[in-house]
Amino acid sequence: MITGPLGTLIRKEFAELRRDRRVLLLTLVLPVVLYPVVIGAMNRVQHDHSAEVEAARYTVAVAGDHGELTGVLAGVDGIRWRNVAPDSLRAMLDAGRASLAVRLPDADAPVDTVRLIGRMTSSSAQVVADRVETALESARWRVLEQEYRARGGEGGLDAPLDLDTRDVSTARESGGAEAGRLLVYLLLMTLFMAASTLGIDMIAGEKERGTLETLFLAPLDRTLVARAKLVVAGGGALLTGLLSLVSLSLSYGTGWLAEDGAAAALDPAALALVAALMLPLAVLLAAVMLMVSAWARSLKEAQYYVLPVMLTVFVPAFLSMSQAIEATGVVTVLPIANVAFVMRDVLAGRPDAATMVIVVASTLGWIALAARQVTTLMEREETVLGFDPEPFFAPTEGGRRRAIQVALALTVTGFFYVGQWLQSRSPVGGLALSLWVLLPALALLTERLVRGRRPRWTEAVALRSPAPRHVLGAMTLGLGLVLPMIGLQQLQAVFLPAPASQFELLGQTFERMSLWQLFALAAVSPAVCEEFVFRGVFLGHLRRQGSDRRAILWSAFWFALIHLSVFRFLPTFLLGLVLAAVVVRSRSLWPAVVLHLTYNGSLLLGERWLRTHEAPFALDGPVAAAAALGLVLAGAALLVRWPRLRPAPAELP
Amino acid sequence: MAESSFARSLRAALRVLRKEILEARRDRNLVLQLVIVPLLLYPTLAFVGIQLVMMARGAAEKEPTVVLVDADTPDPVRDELDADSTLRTRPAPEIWSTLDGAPSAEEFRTLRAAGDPEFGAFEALVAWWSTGAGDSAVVVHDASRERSQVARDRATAAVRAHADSLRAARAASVGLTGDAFRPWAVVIDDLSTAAERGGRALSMILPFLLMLMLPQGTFYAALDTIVGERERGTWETVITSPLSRAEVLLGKLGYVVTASMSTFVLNFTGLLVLVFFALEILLPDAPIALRLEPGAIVVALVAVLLLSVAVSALMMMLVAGARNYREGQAALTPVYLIVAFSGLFAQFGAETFTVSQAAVPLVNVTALLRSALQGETPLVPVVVTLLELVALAVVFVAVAARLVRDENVLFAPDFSVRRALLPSFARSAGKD
Amino acid sequence: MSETHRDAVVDVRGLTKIYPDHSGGEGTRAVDDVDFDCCPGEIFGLLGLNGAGKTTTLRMLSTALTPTAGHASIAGFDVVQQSREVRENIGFLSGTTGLYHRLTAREMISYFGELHGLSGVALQRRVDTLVETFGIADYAGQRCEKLSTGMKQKVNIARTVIHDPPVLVLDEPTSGLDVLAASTTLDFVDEVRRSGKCVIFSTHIMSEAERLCDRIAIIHGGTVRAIGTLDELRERTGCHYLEDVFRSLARPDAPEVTAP
Repeated sequence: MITGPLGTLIRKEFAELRRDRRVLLLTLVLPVVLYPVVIGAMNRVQHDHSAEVEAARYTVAVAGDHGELTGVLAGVDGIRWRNVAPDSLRAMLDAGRASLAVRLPDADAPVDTVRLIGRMTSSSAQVVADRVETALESARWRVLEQEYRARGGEGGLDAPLDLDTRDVSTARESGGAEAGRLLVYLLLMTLFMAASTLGIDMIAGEKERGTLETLFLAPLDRTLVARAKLVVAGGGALLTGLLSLVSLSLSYGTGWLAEDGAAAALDPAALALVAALMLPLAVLLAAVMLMVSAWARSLKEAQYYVLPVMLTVFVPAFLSMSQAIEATGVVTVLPIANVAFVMRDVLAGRPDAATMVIVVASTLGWIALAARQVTTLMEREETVLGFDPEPFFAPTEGGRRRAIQVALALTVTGFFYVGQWLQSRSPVGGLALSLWVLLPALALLTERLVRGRRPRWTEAVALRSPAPRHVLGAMTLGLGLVLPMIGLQQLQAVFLPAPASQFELLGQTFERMSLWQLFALAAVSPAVCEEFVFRGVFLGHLRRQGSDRRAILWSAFWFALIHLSVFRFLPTFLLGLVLAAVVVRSRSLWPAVVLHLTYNGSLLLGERWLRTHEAPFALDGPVAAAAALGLVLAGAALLVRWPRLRPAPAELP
Repeated sequence: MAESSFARSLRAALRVLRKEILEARRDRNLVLQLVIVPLLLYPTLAFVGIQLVMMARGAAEKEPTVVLVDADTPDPVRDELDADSTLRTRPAPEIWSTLDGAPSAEEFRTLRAAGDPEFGAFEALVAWWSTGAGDSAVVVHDASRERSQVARDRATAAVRAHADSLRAARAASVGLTGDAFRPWAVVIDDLSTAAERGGRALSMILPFLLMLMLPQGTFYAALDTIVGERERGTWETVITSPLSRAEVLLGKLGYVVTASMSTFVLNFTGLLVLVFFALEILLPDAPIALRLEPGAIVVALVAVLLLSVAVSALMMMLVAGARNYREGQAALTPVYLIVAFSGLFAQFGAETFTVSQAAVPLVNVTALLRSALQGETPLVPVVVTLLELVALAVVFVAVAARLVRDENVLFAPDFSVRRALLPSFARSAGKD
Repeated sequence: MSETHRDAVVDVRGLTKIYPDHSGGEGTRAVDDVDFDCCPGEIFGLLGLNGAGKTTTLRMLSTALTPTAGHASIAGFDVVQQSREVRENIGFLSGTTGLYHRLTAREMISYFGELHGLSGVALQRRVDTLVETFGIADYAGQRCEKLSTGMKQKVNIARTVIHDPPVLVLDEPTSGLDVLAASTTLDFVDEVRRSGKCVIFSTHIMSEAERLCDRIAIIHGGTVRAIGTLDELRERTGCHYLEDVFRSLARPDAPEVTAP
């Protein structure tokens, strides 16, 4: 048993919880009872509906007279045929008096085409169309068979091919896979609900009740308090999860939750493993909600944050319902999502020890991060005293820092919507517009949002004339980075392979362009526009609000994010770091422009050139590596050799 | 004069409403919920989701699904499978090529578990052998694995295609070709437009989500406007102003409905834009278009508005006695859950909006939304729904008004809604 | 039964309030057969302990509660039958009255002015006057949540008199206030009496009652034990300090003493 102050704290928390009826109801009773009932009822409804659809009799309007075919159709199950004139077919459909219309070819028509007319978005039309098609197909083969024999064909027309499928999965496995789809999703949502109810109450609720201050006045380390709350919230969530797991497994086992009522036996070992995996997950969710609870100023405010966090948890939970996303590569370290996918695999009978270890380890890492944040937040004065922290956008250092981050987030969002839309309309025009119009416009918007006092434009975007050394260094560096970046991307493809379709459209577009057009669009435009916005406006603001290092990191981050692709993130991020560092070092934007231009240009030109020419040396050989290294070092030397610079435009307000 | 007093009441209620909205606008949390969540969160989540799907595709392409094919399998089958970029065929072990029959489940598993580099990690196996009467083919797979199911489907399709070509060859051997081989063609004339398909897609996703959002907006507004007054100690001040309690209630109701509808509309727009973009990015060639039928949308909005009034009044009623925020929450959570989950049911029922659906509260609104998103507004069910909603709204507002007039609402420490409603009928008579 | 002053603007007769007991018992008599009246330019004090029935009485006068029996009228309007008119003629302030956090001080006052039927230029002018009078100008544009207790009280007071009511009902208005804020409040009450308003003032703080009230009603256990000026009460009980007067009258067996 845990002794000492931690034990005391934990016991107190549990004691309080035990006596809180509402909490008990929401965390223990509701998920355990609610989900099986609701899901089961839903399944019933769906099942009944499907059965209804199958068993129903549908009205089909038919026009045309083709003795043979008419006979075939008459034999189709569950259909009421209404003979109408060809002109009335559409009318019947439009009036809703028929689910489908069939236009038979007239006996003397030159081409025999049977038209099935209907609104295929309606399930009744689909069902009927399927039945009619099947009937017609069988009839066709019958006719052909007769004809074949009549012409003296040997044996039958039907190829003597006996096709069968054999399923090696046991009922347990396939049941588990089926169950796994929904089970993981439900467990995740249950854990979340419990973690949020408990977590919100434990800090924000205590603050509201006025007991938090008293607690902090005791001779206790706040880390201890945070830990105790984490244990209790996580433990409570886990308990709920376990109860839910039991209740859901039983429901699956008795067939209540299956659509057709079939019992799905779940492997107890798999269930035990899932239960074990729930532990780190429960603790992580608890840590996140405690973080939220500590940050909020009041219980009411904390409640407001529940929905966004819930939506964030919902996405991986939802995606775990499909087996398409596999727990490999980068996915194994994505918080919450990784555990969800692994649980799904376990239930489908495919536990992979190595993956599980990585997943658990990374989850523990995330927990440590979140827990530390909880402690930090609890040490703030505002948490205890409940007085208002400065407004979000206050004209203070912190406020301005937040303002620019929000502005950057809005920029990326704006780009996400408008840029994507533009590029979907026209790849070339859209890209050009996005770079030359959209990005600068968003930068201007940021400038407005993060007012402060307006510095001169040239200062703001560091448009000073650069030193020749720096320009040369940038060019050299740009050239030298090409091969390493290509190597990096190949390395990345090992654990984060990109689908072919990702770059297909862009690739096709670029193919059609002449070299100069391509150069202008894919080298010059990004070099100018992206530098102006990211290393000019944004970097400038970030440097004014914080340290240079953080400014470089954040500007690179947003720069990478705006390319809106997880596959391009890492290379773009690294490039962004280099570009930002160049601007800081050289105190001018131009070297970065040159670097960017050189880099992009080399890639484009090099790729085109290599199509028609042989490379003088192997691009992945030692010569190439040495050359690249040499260029990088030379470029860096040219840039760095300049004496220690005066700090960022600090003289600006 | 009745008219002027009604106008006066309305004006008084509007004043209360204006103040509530003014206060709400300055509530950072509300702004966050209403604006930031749809604006920033949805795109972020969608982006993350899309990237995950892309990653899945990339992984699938990098490691194509392997189908083992035994030596007797005809080349056309093998070729067809290889033509699919996500599949790859490999020769099955010798031992099965020579046998008649397909491996048993245990043999299949053993082979897979052995992890033989020669065969790789395969998902399905096509076993082919000839008997005197003809050929037999078995596709062995594992139905618990999605990849295996896909492999099975492709393999089966390839085998069938081969069988079809065999039949065609036989037919050709006796001169049955061309039109003779195809005595008739079956053509499907799909009358549904891209817009209809788009509407169908929307109606599968949005109504449930929207029914989740609506009580969210109502929940916090109702709590804030009723319990908030109590916590701040301003209730007494308000009721000692010349306004009647009904007028105060009306003003506050207006505010809660406004908050609720704003949440709904903003989330609706946000989700719509998002679905549009997700489809553009993930399925650029899909033959669907997202278009909304204005008339139907207006009808849907009217229904949602009425529902909002009913739910708002209900929530305000339930929270009337709460002494603090937590109690209020406890009282409202069941309502929230009921409204939110009702959307689930309607999502899975019959796809056309029927009168029987129209009779059930909450379900009818979801079904109406589904229908409206597809551009349809069948008259009778819509009218039934609207009438029902009006009735509910009137009842709940009346009850809420009665409650508010009860002095115990504000002052009694042991106030209970149930007790208040039953014997308080007489007490409220004559109270302004 | 006390006599009725001819020019009384507040008249209370036999006012009774019984809170029903839900377990079937008789219920609690929070206020039992209370009589008093007040005239313009008079501060009438209700003095009693916590739970004596002061708040309930004042709530009945402000129409928040319905009397079980008896009558009360303010400015000639019956509190039950003409409650709206009554509310148009009173200004209510209590120790637990709060402000709307997210409104500014000025907005807070204007809002209630609007509720009382003021609007447009007249409202503006009235608000400006009050802001000036109570010295709120420096923080009139600040949100109420940011104000100190003293400032909040001033805003509250301004809110009370925005519509210039003839009667003020103040229920322990200084409870929870610091010395300076309490003093401001009491000065205001004094000022208001000088301007000819009728003030009904409840408190359990003797010094306040001594300082301000023209006449005092000692209320205990829901009934009025005595009404009169301070001197009259002193004479009746033979005690000098109000505290002693109170103690002597608040005994369960003390006879009812009313002024002539």
